[in-house]
Amino acid sequence: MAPSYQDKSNLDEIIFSRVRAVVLNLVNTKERIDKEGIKGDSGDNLKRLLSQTIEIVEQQIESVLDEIGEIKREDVKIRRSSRIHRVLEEFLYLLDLVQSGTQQIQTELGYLVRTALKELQHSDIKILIIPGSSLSTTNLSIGLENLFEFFTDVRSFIQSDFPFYWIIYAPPSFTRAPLNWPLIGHEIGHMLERQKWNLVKDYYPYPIVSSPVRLPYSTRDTKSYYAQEFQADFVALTYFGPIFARRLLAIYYTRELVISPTHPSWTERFGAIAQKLEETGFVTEASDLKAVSVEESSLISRDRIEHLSEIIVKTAEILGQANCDYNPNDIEEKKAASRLERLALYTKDMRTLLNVADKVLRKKKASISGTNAESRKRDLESDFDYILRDSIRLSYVKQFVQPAMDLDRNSTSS
Amino acid sequence: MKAYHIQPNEMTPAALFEDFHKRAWLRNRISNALMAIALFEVESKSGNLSKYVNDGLAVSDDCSTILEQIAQNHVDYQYPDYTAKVLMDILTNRLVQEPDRSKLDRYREGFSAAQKVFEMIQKQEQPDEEMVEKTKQVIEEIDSEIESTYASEENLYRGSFIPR
Repeated sequence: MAPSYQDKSNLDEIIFSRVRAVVLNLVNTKERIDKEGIKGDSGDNLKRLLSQTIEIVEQQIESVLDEIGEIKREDVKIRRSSRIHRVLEEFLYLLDLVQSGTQQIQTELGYLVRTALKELQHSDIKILIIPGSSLSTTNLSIGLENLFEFFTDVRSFIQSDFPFYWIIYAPPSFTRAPLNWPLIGHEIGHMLERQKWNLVKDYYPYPIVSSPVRLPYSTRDTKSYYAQEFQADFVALTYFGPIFARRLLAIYYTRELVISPTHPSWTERFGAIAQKLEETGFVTEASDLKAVSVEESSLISRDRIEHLSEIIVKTAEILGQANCDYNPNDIEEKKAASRLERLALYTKDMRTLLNVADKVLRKKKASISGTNAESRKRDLESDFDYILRDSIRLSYVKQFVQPAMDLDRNSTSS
Repeated sequence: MKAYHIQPNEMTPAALFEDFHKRAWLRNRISNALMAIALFEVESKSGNLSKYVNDGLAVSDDCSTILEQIAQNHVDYQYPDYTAKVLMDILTNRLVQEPDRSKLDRYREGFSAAQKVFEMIQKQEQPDEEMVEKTKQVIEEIDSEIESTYASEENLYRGSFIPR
């Protein structure tokens, strides 16, 4: 039974004071965000999204409270205020999570993602990377629209200015190991499909429940989910090259990959990846994948997704137009290998760096034996993490920051 | 039931995020529906009233259709949207039992009244008081049921993405 309050005006006062208190917390958080900023890729955009949302809430809250003051039904007043308070409280949690979470993400991971998006010719895509238990992606903007259902101006603002703002959740074992970073190519594939391409949607409409907790045995929905997964693997492999397949394999047995009914079986995913590797001449990597004995079954087999090959062909065409397939260059690979073997930085191209680093590290580890071999291997891995991060950072500066600075300097001097 | 019930430990953080916010959306619309009734009663001039009435009507229409479908055949139910999933969870205690028939009938009756009430409010007509009470009752009951059914998962941002 809802608590009763004799004096209606006093009840309003208590409710209003609690709601205004949480709004004040939001305003204070906004000031903190404005002052400290948000670390990471698209941080300024994110700051604008969150700060402006708070500003609108601050502007609208009095009219929302006026409505509560207007109504007579006490139980509805209490339910409404508890709902509003809850929404604002959840938003506060989100803000704290974003501020603390982004601090834990290596800046260089953001540089790699930003470089990939620029090379894929979609540098307008906005991303927030925060820690999470498994690598996965969702649209923050839709989450906020749902959360602020009754703050109509917040919804309008998000729909017009930020219809897509992606959150990528990344586990610590992923974010702290740069060699695993190409796995994020799969998430980039999902974002491109959802925000830019809609190639899968043309054949298999996205299921109404985008991320279900109850998956009906609907063949059409399953085809849509699976086609998106095969396509995302294809994007990651095409852009990052065989390192994507090697890192998938590296984390497969420790079950760091989510096995879910919305995803095809690993048997089929590895099969599709191996096929693409063979076609592009990476025969060793293809046979390594084929050697994995996985016997998981999917809800439906790949063959039953009748338009999958058309979706993949169209995806390949788009990637080809952006001219961003990973094409290994012998001379560059040798240069990179030579530098990495000496534990020196290689800053020409991030994808060559990662593909070669994986091979060099394996070779160097294999050559370590004798006393303290395991400890020396760990030290080597740690050294490689630093070298990769430094190389990625410098590569990003050379490709994007330095040219912009030069341009700025030239325009100032002229 | 021909559906795969994805366990919370099989859900990615992204899926948990979507699930949590979808639920917030549904409860916000339910809250709007209650506000529509309360504001109409006091002849409010709030600019949001027509939106709240539309939300109330939409919630009632959705729930009526879904409950009708569940009543006809819950075994092969196809879950057209998130509201369907929530109603089925409430009726079956998250799929551990057959749908509770008495609840199902009560909700069908309640949302049928709610449809009429919101249609009348939309037309600026005065709905019957008994129907209004029935509407309010069913909406409040559903809201409370959602809260208790998912109580263990209402902690998305509180330090953990893994449901308690």
